[in-house]
Amino acid sequence: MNYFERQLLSEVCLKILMDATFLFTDSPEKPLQPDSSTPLEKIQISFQGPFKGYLQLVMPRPLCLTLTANFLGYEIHDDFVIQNALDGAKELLNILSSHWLTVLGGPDAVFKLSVPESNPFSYSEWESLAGHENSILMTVEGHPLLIHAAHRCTPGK
Amino acid sequence: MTVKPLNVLIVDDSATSRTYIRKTLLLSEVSIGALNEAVDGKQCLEILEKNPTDLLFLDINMPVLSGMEVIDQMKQKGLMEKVSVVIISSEGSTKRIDELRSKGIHEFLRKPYTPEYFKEVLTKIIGEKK
Repeated sequence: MNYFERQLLSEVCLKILMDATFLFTDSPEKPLQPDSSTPLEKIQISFQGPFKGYLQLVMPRPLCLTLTANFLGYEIHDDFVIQNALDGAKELLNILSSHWLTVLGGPDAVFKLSVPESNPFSYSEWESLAGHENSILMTVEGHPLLIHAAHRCTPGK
Repeated sequence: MTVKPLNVLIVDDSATSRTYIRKTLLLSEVSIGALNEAVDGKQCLEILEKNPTDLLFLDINMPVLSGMEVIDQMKQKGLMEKVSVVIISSEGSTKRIDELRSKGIHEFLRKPYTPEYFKEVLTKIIGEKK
């Protein structure tokens, strides 16, 4: 991603999190590091259309709870939130990626999105991905959030 | 005047999204009869065939059978005339939204949306149904 594309993704992420969860994101100069004792989750969606690629969110599990709770206006200790924390994070990634792709590809562009998937992520994988040029580090409600994207033009589109 | 309660079906593979739709629906103070839910397009068609439904809230990007495929099958079965279909999706392509409208959907709501906008859309549909 070039500087413009990174900026675009940051702005869309900030807007979607604000609109959907009423949470502010921050991009501090010295990004927060996840606590190595807290489990991390990687949520991923892939897309095909004028561009082909994927978008990932990596976050500590407590942030999944916070996002889902705020999305629904529930408490983080609510049974539904505890059972569906990953589902809520996947839904937010689905919304984020659609809005990002509309901005990136223009209003006429048609993309086919995969169903979002989640996987546990290790602290060492975070350290490696955090330094990648296609990664953006943010802070949400005192939790670190890593956004990683990759895309390339689809030949003939 | 007594308004007939609406039989509603909510279809989305995300439990979080279904819950949000159900919450905003109940907040809108519309009289609801049966309230059913489905997690994919296949389950949606099964419920539509067995249960009289006035209003369908349908997602597009779903496993097994997508929302677009559901609409095509509803058209074939003559269900588009009987059920008001509201697409609730994060889809932003005007081309795809136009395609959905040409297939006979009533409204398109882009995620994320506010309960106020949801109520506005619902009020419009109920007005058209009277």
